[in-house]
Amino acid sequence: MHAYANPTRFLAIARPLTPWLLGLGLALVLAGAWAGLMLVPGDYKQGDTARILYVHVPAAWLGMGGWSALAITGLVQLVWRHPLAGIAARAIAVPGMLFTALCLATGSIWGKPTWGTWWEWDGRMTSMLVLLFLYAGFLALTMEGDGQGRGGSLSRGAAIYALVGAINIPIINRSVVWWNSLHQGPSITLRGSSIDGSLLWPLGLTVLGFTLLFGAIVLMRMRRIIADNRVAARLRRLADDEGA
Amino acid sequence: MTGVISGGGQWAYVAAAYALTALSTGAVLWHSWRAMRKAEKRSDALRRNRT
Amino acid sequence: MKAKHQRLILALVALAGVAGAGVLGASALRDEAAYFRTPEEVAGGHAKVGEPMRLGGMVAAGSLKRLGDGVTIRFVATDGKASVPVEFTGIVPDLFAEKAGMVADGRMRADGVFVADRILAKHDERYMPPQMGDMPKDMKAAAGG
Repeated sequence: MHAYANPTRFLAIARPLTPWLLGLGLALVLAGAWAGLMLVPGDYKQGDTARILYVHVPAAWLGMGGWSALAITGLVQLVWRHPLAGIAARAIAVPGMLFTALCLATGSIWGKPTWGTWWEWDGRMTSMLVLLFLYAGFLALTMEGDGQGRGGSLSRGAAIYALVGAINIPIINRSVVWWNSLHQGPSITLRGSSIDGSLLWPLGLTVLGFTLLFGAIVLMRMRRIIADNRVAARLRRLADDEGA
Repeated sequence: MTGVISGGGQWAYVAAAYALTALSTGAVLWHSWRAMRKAEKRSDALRRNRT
Repeated sequence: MKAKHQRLILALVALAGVAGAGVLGASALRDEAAYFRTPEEVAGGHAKVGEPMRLGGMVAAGSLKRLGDGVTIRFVATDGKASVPVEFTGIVPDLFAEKAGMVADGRMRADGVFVADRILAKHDERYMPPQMGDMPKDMKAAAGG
């Protein structure tokens, strides 16, 4: 019965891990935001507006990283039919969509004073908006009515959708290189960072902190689905006993 | 047309971006936590009932 | 075991196919998805007179002038390979300056001047503290308030 054994083993790790991710994530995010707002100087051109970077970049990373994780769960579901894959996919979709929306919103707030516009249809912004719609589509596909849950499993269609949607991730990443865009090119590449070290370090704190919080949200949502599944299974068994 | 953004007006944008991030992340964290606690309590209660 | 491997191969083949289609589509869109045209493309005859288009480039050093009416500016947009004179009446973003990137909406006039009806500043990927910025002195004074 690996379908039952796996969630149990998973919970043995997830339960103690959740408060650690939450506490450490919150501490890092608060420290990074404090440093980004108060300690580091503004940018030589953008002034204080540049401080939006410390929330925009983690949101972009988690929006895109979230879909990458979703695609992996889709693959695991299709190939290995692991019972945790569908549960993880459902747990990832909401925080992934949250951070994608935050990336778009904070970018827009930054764009107004910097570029002089809230929104332009350039390659980066358009492909990121497509990611938001992809998340919305995934949530619609996997939505279940109350009490009608299928044990948190993922339909084949939803798994394929998660896998195919991953095409958009390299497109977002390369959009500023392939096409002339209003959005600037990548600041941090394999060859180094064009963000000066004195402005860069709070970004490390917020990226790590938000990533831990993302992990905490995913674990909490997975635990909720697993608990719901157990309740549903037990109620079914009780009903069967009474019927017999 | 100075080539730099200066003045206090830009803090409104910064504050808006940080507030939006804090509020929405906090809301999702809170909701996920509450839903998890509720579901796990129900599951635990049912198990105790049976034994 | 066999079925699992079959599913894995099938999924990977399908994924490779979709990825290939995505890359092909993206490269086919190369021209359409471009947010702006460069001065080099404009000089190469990509711009038709009077047709709405978007021009992006650097504001050439020493080219920015304000005309007699006080609200119209003139500058040269360049990408290092070609340059296009631009005329614009209106308010430009704070970051708009010589040796900085900009994107202009407008159209070519018959005399080869690009008439813009909107200008956006394009930021580059560099972030650094003010002391390190290689700003000309007058800008530094303006930033210092």
